[in-house]
Amino acid sequence: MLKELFNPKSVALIGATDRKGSVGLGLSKNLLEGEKDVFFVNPNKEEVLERKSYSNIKQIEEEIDLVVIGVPSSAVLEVAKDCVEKQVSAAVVISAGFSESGKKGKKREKKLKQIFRKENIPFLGPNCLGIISPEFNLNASFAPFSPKGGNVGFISQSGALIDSVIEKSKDNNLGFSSLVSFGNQAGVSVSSLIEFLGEDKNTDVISLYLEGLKGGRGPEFIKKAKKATKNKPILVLKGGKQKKGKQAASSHSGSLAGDSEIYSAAFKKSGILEVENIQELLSLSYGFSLQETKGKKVSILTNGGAAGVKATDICEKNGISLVSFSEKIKQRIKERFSKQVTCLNPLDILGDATQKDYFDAGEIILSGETDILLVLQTIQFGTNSKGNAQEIASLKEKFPKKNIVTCFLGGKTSQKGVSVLEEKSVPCFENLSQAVLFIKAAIERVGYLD
Amino acid sequence: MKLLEFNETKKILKDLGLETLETSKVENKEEVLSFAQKDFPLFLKVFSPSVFHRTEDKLVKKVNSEKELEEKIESLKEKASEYENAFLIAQKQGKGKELFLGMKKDSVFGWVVMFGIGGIFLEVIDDISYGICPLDKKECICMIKDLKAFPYLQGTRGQGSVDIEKLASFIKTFSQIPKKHSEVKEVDFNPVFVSGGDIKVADFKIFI
Repeated sequence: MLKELFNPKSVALIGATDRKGSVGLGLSKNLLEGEKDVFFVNPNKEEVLERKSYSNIKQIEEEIDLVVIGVPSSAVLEVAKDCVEKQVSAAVVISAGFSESGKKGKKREKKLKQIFRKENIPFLGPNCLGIISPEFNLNASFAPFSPKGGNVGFISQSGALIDSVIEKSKDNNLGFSSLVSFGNQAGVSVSSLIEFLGEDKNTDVISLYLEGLKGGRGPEFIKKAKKATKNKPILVLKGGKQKKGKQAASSHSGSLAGDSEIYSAAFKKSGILEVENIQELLSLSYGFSLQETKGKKVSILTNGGAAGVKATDICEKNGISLVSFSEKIKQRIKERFSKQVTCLNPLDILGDATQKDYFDAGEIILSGETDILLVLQTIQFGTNSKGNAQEIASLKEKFPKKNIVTCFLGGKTSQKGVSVLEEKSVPCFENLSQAVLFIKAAIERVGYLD
Repeated sequence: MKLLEFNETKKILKDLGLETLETSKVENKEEVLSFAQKDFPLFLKVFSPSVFHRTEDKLVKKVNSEKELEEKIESLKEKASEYENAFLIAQKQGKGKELFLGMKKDSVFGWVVMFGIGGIFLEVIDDISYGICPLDKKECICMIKDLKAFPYLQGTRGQGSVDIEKLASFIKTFSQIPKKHSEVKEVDFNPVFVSGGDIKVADFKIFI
């Protein structure tokens, strides 16, 4: 049902303009970047960005799949009626001034809903940034930056957050299948968006920023999210966490459960992984965009003692215990490495470790019961980041069913191998906490799927 | 909101198979003695549809022996006279760990079950598990294991343990109260005494 919203053939923009600094200009420019048949509508202009501008959508002869409405709120209802007459398949209402802005706006939103619902036309918004879908070459938003294509589906109640996420994602090497800002959820609900991206073959991770659902929409959300999490991870950052017990309740129990506790319980029930901040949301999206985990048994391989000790500490703090190496594995380590290497997990192959050492140690560990191998690298004299990355990538090729997570500590020198790793779907995290957080989330997901 | 009538509440629990501590409506010393069968201590409580918090309002008294009985009955009767349709109930002392179970209806997700260590600790220590209905048994077990105090339920330092399977079934049954009784608005069981697989509700309130 949402196909035309994500992947229309033709798009009409009502409110197209070339006025500097306007939302309409942002929308016009972004739409032209995609590979769609674009039509501009603005009764006050004959041309916008050197293209013909129609005075009304009904004047366009071609069929319109998606209409984007970016006119002032007072004009939206009239325009929406025209769209229904034109028999558009889907709509995005960018305009603000609806239920988020008082009584009058609420009334207007109700009318807007009635207009589209009568003809069963799905519409996004109102009061949203729009939709950007690199997988379908669509940018129906006024976002200032274009994201890289990829396999993360991002759904957000906040449009502004999407802008920041797009910019930040470039540092994190994160690419998106689609980014959707759903605004007031008067038409298309967050649950339907989850359902669509859950079935979308180009989306491997769904990343969600949610402030709240509308009354009574909880069960639908749980049902659709549950179905989606069976096939791919969903991550959520919940905004607007209220302190519990704000409202006076007559019973003890009534005052105990606040908004955030109930949402957390619902996320858990649906198999959704909850994060605490935007950095975690991006970091886990990055990890899951490269790997899905299948097991729970963790080992650590390092060339620096402190990094291994600290990573183990963070693991323990997060309830992750490392596997004890079997006698057979210990024997193989003894045979391969010098006496200074102790056969313990974390396995420290010392500061002078070569790329061959990394491969052999990893090979020995992964031939045992370990499911997830965390490989750490500190920059020491003779450390070859790129070489190490190449060997770790080969390890991943040799053990495609096992997980390798890396963290190359240091600055630019240490980051030289990152792209080599990512090409083989091995995530390389900026710091130990992020790497362990991903392992923790991955294990939690394995537990949910069991 | 008000409380569902005492006997009706008891009947709902009985129909679902949720056991309560031995409890009886009493009017005088003789009735309490016959209920007690020399088994002291016991508790006397005031029940009224408008009394929500008995401990805070000092409407509960522990009776350690027959000697104290007369005086405590009189003082509670006097207090009870301040409330509408109030009467006294006598209850035997519970055994085991005190747990809490509550339920309320959320405007977005519907019925939510809350579970934690009961008694006065409930409000002091923020250690409560939440579950969205309908709950299956696996989810109920997760709710129990999610408590920070889970090791306490498993039994530490020679203290008895709690039968997790039975407790999970109890929570599941508890979560079905509103499904069977549409007029229910909130449910509050605190404390529930659990000793091994023996689970008995001491204080039960159903709000309508």
